[in-house]
Amino acid sequence: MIAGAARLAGAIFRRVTALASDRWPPGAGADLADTFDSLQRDAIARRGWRGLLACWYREGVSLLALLLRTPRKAAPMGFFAHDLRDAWRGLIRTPGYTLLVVATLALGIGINTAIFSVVDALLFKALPYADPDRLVRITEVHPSGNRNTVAPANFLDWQRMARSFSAIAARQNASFALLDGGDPIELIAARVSVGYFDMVGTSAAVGRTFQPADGDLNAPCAAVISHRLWNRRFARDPAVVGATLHFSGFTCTVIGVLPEASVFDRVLSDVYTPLVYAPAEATRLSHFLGVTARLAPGVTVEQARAEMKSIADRINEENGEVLRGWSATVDPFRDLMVRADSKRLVWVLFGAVGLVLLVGCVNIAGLALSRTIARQREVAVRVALGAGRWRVFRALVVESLLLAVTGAGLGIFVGQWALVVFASYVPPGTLPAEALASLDSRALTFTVALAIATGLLFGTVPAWQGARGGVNSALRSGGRGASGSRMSARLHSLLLVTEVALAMVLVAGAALLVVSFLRLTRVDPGFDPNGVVTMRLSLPQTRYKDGIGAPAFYNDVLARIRRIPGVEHATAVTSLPLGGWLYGQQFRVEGTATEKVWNSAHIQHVTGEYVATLGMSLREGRAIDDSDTAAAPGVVMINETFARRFIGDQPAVGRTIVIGGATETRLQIVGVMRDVKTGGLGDPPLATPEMYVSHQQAPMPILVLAIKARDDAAATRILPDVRAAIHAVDRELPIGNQVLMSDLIGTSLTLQRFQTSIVSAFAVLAGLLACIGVYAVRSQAVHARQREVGIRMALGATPRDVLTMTVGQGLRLVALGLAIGLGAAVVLARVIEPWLFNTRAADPAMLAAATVALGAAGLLASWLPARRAARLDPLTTLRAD
Amino acid sequence: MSPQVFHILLALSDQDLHGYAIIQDVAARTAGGVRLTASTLYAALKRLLDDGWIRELAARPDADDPRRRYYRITAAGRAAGRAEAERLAQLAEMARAKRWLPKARRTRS
Repeated sequence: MIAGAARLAGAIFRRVTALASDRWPPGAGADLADTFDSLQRDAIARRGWRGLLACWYREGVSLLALLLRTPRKAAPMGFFAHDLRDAWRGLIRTPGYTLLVVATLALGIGINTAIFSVVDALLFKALPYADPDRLVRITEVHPSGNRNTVAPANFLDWQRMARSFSAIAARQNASFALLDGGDPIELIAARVSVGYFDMVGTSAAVGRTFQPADGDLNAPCAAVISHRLWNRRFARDPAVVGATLHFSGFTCTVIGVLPEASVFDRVLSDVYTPLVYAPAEATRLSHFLGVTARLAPGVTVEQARAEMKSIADRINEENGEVLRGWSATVDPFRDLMVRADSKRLVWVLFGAVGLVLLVGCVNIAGLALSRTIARQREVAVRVALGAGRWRVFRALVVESLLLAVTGAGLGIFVGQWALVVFASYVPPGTLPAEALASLDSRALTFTVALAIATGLLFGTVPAWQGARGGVNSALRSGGRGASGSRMSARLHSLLLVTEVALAMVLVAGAALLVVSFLRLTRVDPGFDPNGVVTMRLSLPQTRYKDGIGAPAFYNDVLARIRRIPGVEHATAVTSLPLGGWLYGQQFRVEGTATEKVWNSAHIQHVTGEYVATLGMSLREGRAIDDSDTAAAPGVVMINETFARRFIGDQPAVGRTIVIGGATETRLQIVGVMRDVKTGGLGDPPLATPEMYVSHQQAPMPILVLAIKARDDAAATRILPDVRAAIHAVDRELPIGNQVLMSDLIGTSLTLQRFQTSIVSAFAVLAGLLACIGVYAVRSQAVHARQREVGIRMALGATPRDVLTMTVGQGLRLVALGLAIGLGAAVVLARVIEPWLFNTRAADPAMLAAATVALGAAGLLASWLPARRAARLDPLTTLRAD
Repeated sequence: MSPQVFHILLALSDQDLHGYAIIQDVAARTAGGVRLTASTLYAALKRLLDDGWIRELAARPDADDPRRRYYRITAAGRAAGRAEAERLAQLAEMARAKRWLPKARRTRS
């Protein structure tokens, strides 16, 4: 923390001193900054934070004094320095005003800087690869138009045929169980083509990465490990190169370690092994490879895309029915690195903080205007003494700029802090780590630009107003009558309307998000998460090849688990609702109008007790149970949506589904389940069609266990027994992802909760600022009309009349602002519409609620000054003349 | 001559130093009484260079940070420093004559 602060201060010092390079010996700028850094280090070493602050104070004052001193020659700077000194004195005289403005700006600019830094890292900065704009991802295109991972046989063909790329590499995620004493550990691994690291442009920090020979079919297994793993398991011992890693079922020799802080430390994989295919092993039927390529010199993305499409067409022709409707395409790598919803998230946040800052600026403009009015006499004296209007205007603008720059200076610290807070709340996986790292020079440049822009934004209007005031009237009226100037009053009203409108946009947006979130949490997921604990088991390919032995293993494990006291049900399935991979499967239903057509639906492989463990329900027929063994007739369960879409109103149970693939399999429908929110609570009301087949009849190596106990506490208590039961069957098996189903539901809403709470926080901030603004503007107006109110009361108006009149004036302006803001909100709410669940962007009830909330706050803010007006003693006001 | 400039010349009188070392030397010699800030020091160095009282060294000790710049006092700088020292000594003499200062000269061990 303290080192970061010193670094930041060093960066600011560097920038500021660079502005006055003529004051230092030529070329000594870096030297000067280094000296400053050394002084900071000394100060920290001697007295920590207090020393550092004292050092900043000493150095800052001295630097400022030096910069303000008119240098020997320079003339134009001299005038500016003079203005700056005047502004400085003026601001010191009114500490309350100065503090309020600087605090508002520090907060506004700071948060903006933090979000800018995220936006910048995510959308504009180069990816951390060599020559990143030449990297592309090649995907297959499913007949539905969706991008899809790639089948190995297709990848091998592409590698052979494509001319648009200088390198093409594939990656397959895997998981290995590392055995080195103690409990086996599951490592996230990746199998990659031998050219993968060269293509990306990364070489090993220790040892080497893969060479073509490592990709030979008979080559011994070579492994490249991440810097993270090297650090954690091998204490950075360089002798790790050549060491043998014992994985469950096979061994590998470590040949290299990836560099620290490379992009490979940000992805999860800790071990990389070569991806090797015997041509006969390669299939076209399952698609699971991620393919990346580097464009050959001179080739554009469009040309590569055209070539890939024609290659895909050629492959399809040669292979007939299997790949009908499939194609391939090429996308810039950057587009795939940044998820569309992340992009939307940062843009919406950027817009929201921008609005908060705007409201702040309008607020300050109102304050500055009042201040100018109060100083009209001083200005008039200056003009009378011969100061040009330009000079007066400039003096006032310089004052605003000084405020803005001071605010921005503090804003950098606020920004640094905001980024840390933001990073701790942002759901993992939403934004890449480097986007949340720290403020860099680009962010600081943005801050400086923002400071100047805000200074001009809130400074010019009052300055212009101040400089144009009539000298005679101002001097004659003793500086008070002029404050009632009609022009100023109108400007004040305009500012009030503007800030209410701006705040309304945010408040309305937040209201929509809040109501949508509440609706989301009340959705019935279609299953009962209470008391269910889950964990993932991946049987290593080497020992359970093609799933052989998997049914026996799972039967044994489940039988042991079911015997544990406290366990009510236990099941295993390829993926649970709210998480994991969904596999598509081609099928057709016999005896329907469309029985000749191949359709596609999600498929899940389940063991017995699936329906009971997860508290789901059957609409008709029976659930798959342990009697559906490989020897028994093939069975399948479907969900309601499947039945409705592919079978219609006729009874479903008893029909035959034909599963496509290398060989066709005929399965009989035994049950229809009610729909479940598979993907998440925000799933559209119409579920996707799903099939459930018996794991014993179609074994899979990777399954998730789900175990049902009485409640979550009981489920947590039985975990050690469950682990023991699993290791009793297979001692080498790592157990991954042990979580409660109810936590899984909570996690699935993290992003929505984050979006909702952060936009709401900004809305509250903007609403508060707007209310302070309304209060300030109305106080000014009431003050300016004191005399008028006094006369009215002297002529018989009751305090009540005065109250009604004054509140009415304020409320009319607030209402106008609300109306404009509402209009803008309805238009802008489309941006967040994809986030809304069962809520329209123009949801009338919510917009009305937002209007009432902000309107009530506005009413209060205009009522307080009005009450003061009503309490005026007419005698005092009139006598004050 | 400002006290800061005098202190800088004193610091450079018997050794070539870089900016940070000058600050440390002055602070050590005055027991923390005079602390130069970075900007004051470099602004003063610029004036001293302009006036030809110090010059920047082209060569620097090998093991040191290559970005550091070393300064050496010139004959003119030494002369100016001496003149200032004599002026100060005369002032001290006058103060002594009026008994603002004790007569006995204390020598530092």
